[in-house]
Order: sequence, then structure tokens, then C-alpha cells
Amino acid sequence: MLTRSLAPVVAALTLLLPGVAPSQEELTVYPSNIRPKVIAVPPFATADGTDALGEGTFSDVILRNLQISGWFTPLPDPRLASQQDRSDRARGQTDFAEWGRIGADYLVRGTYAMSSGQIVADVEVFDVSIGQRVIGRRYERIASQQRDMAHAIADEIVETVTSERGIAQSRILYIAQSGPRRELAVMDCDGGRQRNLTNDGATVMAACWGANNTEVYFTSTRDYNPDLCGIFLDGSELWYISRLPGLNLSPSWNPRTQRIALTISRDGNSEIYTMNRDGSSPLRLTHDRGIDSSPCWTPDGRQILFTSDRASGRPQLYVMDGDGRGQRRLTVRTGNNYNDGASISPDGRRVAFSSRLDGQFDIFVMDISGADSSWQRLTNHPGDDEDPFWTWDGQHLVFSSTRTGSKQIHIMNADGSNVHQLTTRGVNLSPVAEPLPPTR
Amino acid sequence: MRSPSPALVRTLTLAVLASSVLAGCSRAPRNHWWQFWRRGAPSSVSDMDIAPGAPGSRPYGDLAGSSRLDGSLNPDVLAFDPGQLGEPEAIRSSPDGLLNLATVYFGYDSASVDSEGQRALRQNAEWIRANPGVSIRIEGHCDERGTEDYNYNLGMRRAQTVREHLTALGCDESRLHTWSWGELRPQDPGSGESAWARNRRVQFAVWTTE
Repeated sequence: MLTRSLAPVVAALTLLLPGVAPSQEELTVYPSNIRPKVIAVPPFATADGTDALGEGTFSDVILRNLQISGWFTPLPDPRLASQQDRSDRARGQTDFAEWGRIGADYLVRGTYAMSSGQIVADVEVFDVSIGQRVIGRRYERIASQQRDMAHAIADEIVETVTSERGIAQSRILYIAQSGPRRELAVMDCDGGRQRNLTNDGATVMAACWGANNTEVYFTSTRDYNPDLCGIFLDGSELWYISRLPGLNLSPSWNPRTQRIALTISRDGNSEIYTMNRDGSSPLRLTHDRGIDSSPCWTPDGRQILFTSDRASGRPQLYVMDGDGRGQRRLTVRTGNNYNDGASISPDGRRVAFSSRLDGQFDIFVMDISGADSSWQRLTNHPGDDEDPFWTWDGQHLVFSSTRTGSKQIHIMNADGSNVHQLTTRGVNLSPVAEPLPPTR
Repeated sequence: MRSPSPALVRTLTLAVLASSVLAGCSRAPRNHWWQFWRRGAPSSVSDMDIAPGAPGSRPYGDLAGSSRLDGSLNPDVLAFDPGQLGEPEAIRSSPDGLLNLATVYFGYDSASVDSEGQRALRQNAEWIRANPGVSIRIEGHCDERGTEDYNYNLGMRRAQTVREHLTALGCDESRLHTWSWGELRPQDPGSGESAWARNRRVQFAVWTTE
């Protein structure tokens, strides 16, 4: 893995820049509190002038990932970057004063070349204000991993400048609908490399990341019942976890408890259960006549958020202990009488969910306490925004939205700003971001 | 751990259909449900040759999770929607019509069966009791307004409510299987109150025949 080879460099950079070691506290500082840095990424020069990356040039992928990070924004006119880059190359030196004048805080410049199945990129990143190089290194990968390389470069830039690890190397599980079929799919965090993990013509209804970040648990009708299945992230193997008659829906895996929370409907209506990842030791946590659905483990494994319509006949968010005790309602706000799809932030403090207000669904966040005063509306757009899910860094939310006319997946900063559309073809829904950063 | 190959599923599907065709081929042509099977009917005699004799009606596994492959039809293939044929109520006059079962409609965010629905269910129960060889899949549907996830649950609750009614009306519980499409398969693709009302429903499909 590239990340492994990056480790010494990142360590060295960290040593060079005192006080930039990431800490847990810093994770709660959202990028929106900080003015995004303007970054110029002129096209990388290639020896033969070819565009090696199929979907956009190398520099475009890097720039898009920097934008999605929320820490960077491009020059207002990207042509300025190309012009100034040509001018610099002609003169044989970098005119930092001119880069500063056109508005750049940072400049990324690189070359790449393909040879015998390898891609080699030399990348330099400059802090324009002080005219100094903050990154200068060579990346090498096999050609099929060009995108991984571009993501790694973006992440290294984010980390070098902000001291926070980026999410460009994260992946997103989702459900891709084509005609009546819904298949399990995965893509890069910027919407690149969309690929199906299943292709059996059945209906996939829900999915979550499982053990080791290599297993995926999902609900599929492939064997004539909405069963909970497992599959490896590379699409290999496929096994059954829970095949109780009726729904085996909405899995949520917690690595601390090593248990899957899910919805099971065999008892006459939907109830929350937990079970081991092989389906053993099922434990029923809810016992009431209403629908109990969409469980979501808190990161510490102590509590489970879920949806229930037991009180009002409308779905509301609830919380309970991991063994089912202490069930209490979280959402009681007047006007928001339909709340569903809770996702809890990695620090366990904030809950994102979809709530209906004025006839449309929008993404809201609130404290784990549910207090009215902590509610924050993140989206307010014609169309329905649903299924929010936090990225592992707690700085972003992926969600589905019908704002473009069809249901598609988007990503935004955790304060609702910086929205980027990730899918465009067909119908795509239920995004689930990778819960952990890549190991290194 | 069992994962039926697509070929096997298809073969069994065709085999079960083939046995149905054979059972009905001596009668005059009627609007049987398989004729509307949009992916095509059994294509050759060899398909029929491998029809398993009287496939057991075991669509539901037990707790241990036995496969529902034996004798059951692929639900996606069987997602027959009479509404698309301009006959939304699916009432057919033929005494042996396999889909002689009325659709039941629901109020918004509700799984309660109103008086009209109860009338339909009494009629359906009569038919189900008179056709003991058929297992039924009760399919719950929702309108598009809720969340995807809650609607899968609501659709299932509608199906379960209908199953309870039919059981109370004397139908054999073991032949009634519940299923939810959530908001995935609307009867009316439009938006607005009339479309939503048509989409909040439970319809019936044949699950297995003996």
C-alpha cells in the first residue's frame, strides 16, 4: 500500500512542522470555521502529453479531492493557474509574487510518467505566502492504481497544511439502482471508480461496513427473503448471516462489541436485535407493537440509536443501551414529526438524521442529548435529502438527495456547506462511508 | 453459505412455471398469470423435463436458515403487477385464475385495514381456502413520501397485518408469506394524492404451487 510508503515522509514532515500532530480534540474543529485555502493545481505535465487517468486528468482528481476535503478551494478562474504555470516554466522559476497576486495560497505542481506498467509522479507543493516548498516527493504505483495515488497525494497535502488526515482515500458503500434492480456498490470518496459488488438481479436494501473494513454486511433478496448477507469488499465470497423469515434489515456493525445490530420482523412487527457476525446468539432488544428500525451503534458500543413509531405512529429517534435497557425518545421537536436514519459522529457527540419539515426531507444534526437547542438544519433544498452518514473524520456527511431530479449521492461538510455530487447515472442511495482511515 | 447460481435459479424457475403450464394446457386458453410473465415463458420441452415432482412448499427457512431454493419461485421474476395491464384490482373471472386476489389499500402511514379492505380480504380468504395447493406471497408497498428504510418496515407491517386478517379468516398461516417492497415498486409512478393512495397497498403473488 502506498500509505505504508508514505509513513516515513509524513513522519518527517510532522517533525519539520512542530505542533501539527493530530489530536482528538482538533477533530471537532470543523473546516467551515476556517477560511478554505486557495490552491492552484495546474495540469501535471506528462512526457508524452497523454492523459493517463480515464476520468479527468491527474491534477483534476487531486483538486476535486482537495475541494471535497473542505480545507481548500480552487482559484476563481482555473485558467489563471495554467497560464501562470506556463509562464513559470518558460522562465524556469516560480514567481511566487505573481501566484499570490492571482490569489493562490498554495501551489501544487507535478509531472507524471507511465513506464512498464508503473506510474511515477513527482509532486511539489509550495506555500505561496512564504515562497517555500512544503512537500516534494516522488510517488510510484502500478498503473491501475493511478486514482489511489491521486487520492494519497490529496490526503498528504491536506495533512501537511492542516495537520488533519484527509478522507480522499476513503471509500463509500452504496446501493446502485438500475431499472428494478438494486445492487451493492462501492466507490471512491470523490465518486470515482463506481463498481458493483453484487450482480445477481436481486434487491439490496441496506448495507454496512463490517469487520476489519474488509467485510460488508448487507440485506439482499437474492434467496427469496430479505436476508442479511456478508461479502468481502473485493466482491469475493458471499455468505448468509441472518435468514429469519421477513426482514433482516439495516445492519450496523460495532467493532468493540463485535455485534451486528439489525431490524428483524419475524415477531409480527419490526424489532431491533443484535447478533454475532456469523449470526449466532441473536438477542432481541425491543418489545413493542410499533416499528423499531434503523439501529446505529454508538462508537463506544454502549448505546444504540434507532427509529420507532411506538409513541406517535410516526417514526422518531430513540436511544437505548446495547442490551436494550433504558429506551428513551430523543426527538420531540414540534414540526419535525418524522425523523429517521440516525448516524452518529465518530466522537459520539452528534447525531445526523433525516427529518421531514414542510413536506420535504432535509438533513439535520443534533447533540446526542436530543436537546431542541442543539438542532441544526444542514440542508434546505427542494427534493428529499436522506440517509446521512458521517465520514470517519467527523468532518463530512454523505447523503442521498433528489435535488437534481433523481436520487443521487452527495457529500458535504458537517455544517452543510461544500456540497459535491458524487453519482449521476441511474439512481443511487444509502451511502455508507468507510468508518476508519487507511492503515499506515 | 449457499449461493444458488443464477443458472440454477433460472432453471428451477422455468421448471416450476413449466409444471404450471402442463397442468393447465388441456384447458381452453385463458388469461393465466404466466402469460403476462414479461420475461418470457418456458422455451422448450427440456425445461419441462427437469421439473421437480411436486416441489415442496417451503419458502420460509427456520431459524437455522434452510434455503428457500427448493420449489420456490424467484420473487423478482414473480413481481407481476396487474396494474400495468390495466386491471388494477386483479380480479379475474376464471375460477382457477391464480391471481384472483384483490389488492388492499391503506391510509397514509397506516397499516390498518379499512372496511373496504376487510371486504376484499374476506373474498381473498375464500379463494385461498378453496385453493389449498397454493402458497401466497403478501407484498406490502408504500407511497414515495417516507424514508426508504422506514418504508421497508411499513410495507412489511402492512403485509403482516393482512396476514393476521387472513389467518383470522381461516387461512392456513403456513401458506401465507410476507414480503415488503417499501416504496420501490409503485403501482402508479406519479406523484400526488391519487398516485400515493394507489401505491399504499398490499398485493398478492403466487409463491409456490404444489
